Amino acid sequence: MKHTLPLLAALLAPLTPLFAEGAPFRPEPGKFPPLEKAHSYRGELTFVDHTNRRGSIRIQGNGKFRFTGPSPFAMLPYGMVRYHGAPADLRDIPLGTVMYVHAFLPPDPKISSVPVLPIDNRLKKLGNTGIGTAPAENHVLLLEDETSHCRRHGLVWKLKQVTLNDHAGFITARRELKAGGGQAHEETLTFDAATRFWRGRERLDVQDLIAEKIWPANGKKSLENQTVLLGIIWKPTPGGVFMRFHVSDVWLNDAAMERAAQNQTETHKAFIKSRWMPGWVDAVEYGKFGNATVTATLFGGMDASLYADFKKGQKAMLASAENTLKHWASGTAGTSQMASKGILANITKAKGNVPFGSSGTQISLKTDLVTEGFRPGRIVRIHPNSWPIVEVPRDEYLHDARTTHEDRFPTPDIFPKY
Amino acid sequence: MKLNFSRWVAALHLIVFILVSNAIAQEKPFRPEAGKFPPLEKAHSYRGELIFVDHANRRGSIRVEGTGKFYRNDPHPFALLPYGIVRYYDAPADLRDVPLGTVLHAHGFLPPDPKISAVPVLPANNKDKDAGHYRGTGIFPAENHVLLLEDEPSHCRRNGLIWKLMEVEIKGNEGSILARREPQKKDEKKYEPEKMTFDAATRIWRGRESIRISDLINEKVWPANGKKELNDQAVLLGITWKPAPGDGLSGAFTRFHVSDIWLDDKSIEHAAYFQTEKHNALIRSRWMPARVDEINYGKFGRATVTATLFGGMDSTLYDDFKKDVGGQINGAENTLKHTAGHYGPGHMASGGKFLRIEKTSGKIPLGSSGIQIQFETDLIIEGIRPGRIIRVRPNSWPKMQIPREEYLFNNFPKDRFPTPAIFPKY
Repeated sequence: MKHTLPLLAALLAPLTPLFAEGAPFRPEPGKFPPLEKAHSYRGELTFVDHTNRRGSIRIQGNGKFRFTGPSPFAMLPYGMVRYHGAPADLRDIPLGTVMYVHAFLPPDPKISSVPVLPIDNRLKKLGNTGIGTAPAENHVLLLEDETSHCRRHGLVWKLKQVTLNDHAGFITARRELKAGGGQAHEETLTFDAATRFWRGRERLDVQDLIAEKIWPANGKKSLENQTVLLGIIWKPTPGGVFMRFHVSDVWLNDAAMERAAQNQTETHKAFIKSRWMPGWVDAVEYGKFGNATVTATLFGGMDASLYADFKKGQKAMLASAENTLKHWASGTAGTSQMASKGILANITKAKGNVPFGSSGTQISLKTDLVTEGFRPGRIVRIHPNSWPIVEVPRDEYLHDARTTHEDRFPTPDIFPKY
Repeated sequence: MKLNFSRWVAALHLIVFILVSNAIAQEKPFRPEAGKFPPLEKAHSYRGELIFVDHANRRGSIRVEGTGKFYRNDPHPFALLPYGIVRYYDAPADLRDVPLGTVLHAHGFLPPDPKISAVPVLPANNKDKDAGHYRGTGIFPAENHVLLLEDEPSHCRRNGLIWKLMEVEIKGNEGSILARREPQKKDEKKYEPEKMTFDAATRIWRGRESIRISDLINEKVWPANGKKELNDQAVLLGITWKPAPGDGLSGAFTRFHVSDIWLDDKSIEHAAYFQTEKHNALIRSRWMPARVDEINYGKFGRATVTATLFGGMDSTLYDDFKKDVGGQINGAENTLKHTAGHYGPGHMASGGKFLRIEKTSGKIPLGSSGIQIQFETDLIIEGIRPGRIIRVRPNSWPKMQIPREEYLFNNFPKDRFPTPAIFPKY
């Protein structure tokens, strides 16, 4: 009996962090959850279902990475993807890319499009994969690659040493604050003949660096803390190493990184202009005969020029959407034909700290065709008149006559169980 | 008279039977046979946009170009044949290497064995049906088991084709290009031009430089606004699809988008180099796929396995297979997944030695490398049988563990034979 209490305490100890602040935190409708409350992890992107804004990541735990089964995740409707330090869609990220994830428990487990797991799952040891490889926090607010992570935090990689043998080898490097100070993180990574080196507008390979006598053909060389940014992926490593990441890209200067970011920004801008800006409805003021003023907050993480296209007094279209950001369309009628037209009556920009997921920009649209999809808390997509009118592909809209329950609320069945 | 009439009826029946059976024989749809590489000429060819990838099971979906409105076409599931080849940037590739949105040329067959198809089995004449809803014909071919899947530059280089840029029309770093694809070697035929869009994200490759539209404008190669004749400038194009204005109720039904322009040979060879090296590293870690041709059983588990290595890889990989060199051989599935268990293929595979490496002379069918190996092992196992898929590794390749989704463990039927249930129905 005298051992019962200590034993109980020992059993409950791992769970206490989850309950330290009361009930586990879940994002609430109509509120952007604070990034600080997210559970953060990183891993390799292994599967993408971009039309339903979900996928799988092999999460880095404390065990053998290769045993770890891909862990499904879903983007929150206002969840942001960043690649090369620029806004991105899931379809833009190559499989194999190592991503940083900031995620929450499912806001509403009943309609989760990925498996709902026990809330203490991130504390469980899952065989050889170790702890932390299948967290229940699989609804993602921010998904970013290494370069985006570094640029957001003002970090750079300092290259210490290269060991080279037949165009492949190891780099020892340290990730630290560009401004200096703070805690540095040292890591040994592999590279190979497929690793790309970006210098201004040049793309080089390892052989080019050897030819220019920057790197030795074989053996070791100190790189004297050369400042770079790294693109990181995972591939199997020889030997008994549990987990070692791989360098896919090295950006040797700011000009090279800016060019990559610019390219991704332009890709994403064209994407959003064709699929429309996502947002959610804050309020609806009903008038007569179908007239209403819809106030909505535009989601964040886009290029500033897209928000600048929303101007007071301009014509715009508003379309209802789903949590996956899929549009609604009809038989022969496309998204623009189905959307409600109106005038942007007001554009306001929030001052101060804007939470992740939000742009801080609120629009009010006066329309004479308020529809069922425009309700406070619901997802919409908005199109200012200056953007081109195009049709979205079949997999990216719900068909009003043929849409099933599963189209609106995709089930997690797509994900294999390992 | 009655007898004669009966004779006539019998003769008529015979004629009708012969005609019908001939027609059936002629129309019997072609399916790849076990142990044979099907001829590319018998494949049904189509092109479309890569929409979805399940690379671990070597399958995905393509929005196939038909005769109707492209954006309305549902993604169409496909599976790679075990010996199916993927090419990207004119280099060997895995499905995981090809970005979503890329327009690919597919050469597919009917499912070799419909019972275990990993993608939906469709009526054999599906490619001739009008899918309705303005989608036209040809968008859901039953020939969804793919022998060759290649992007635009790979398709052009394989067939000796080139794009000739005729005219550019530009406004604010985006616009349209008029170009025609024709053989590098001139002939008398007239080739129709195609209008494609481009935008500020289009990458232009010149030697080892990556430049963009604004760079071409700054260099006064392209105008900042308006039209310019490009005088049949020879290039290679990377082609994707994205919605273009006018795709809807009026205007262009299908308009493709230029993602990349390679201005010279050096630039495409540079792209091919990176892709080749990436694929070489993949195959060295996942091993060379092959099919067992023959087994000669010895005593106490010994056997000599004769197998044909699959084709489409970089030649340096085949060069690593040498006579009298040690190696390993492991059972695999049609998806090329290893049968491994948690110990990993390196631990589970049968060890041995390559006794003979033979290169076929003459025409080699696509899918085959034309290289046959003879491998002696003292641990012949169930997965190594004539007609079965294996993976082979010479000992010069590094021993690595592969990720969880790329090997079978516990061997549920759905792991060995993935069902088509993953694909949504529209």
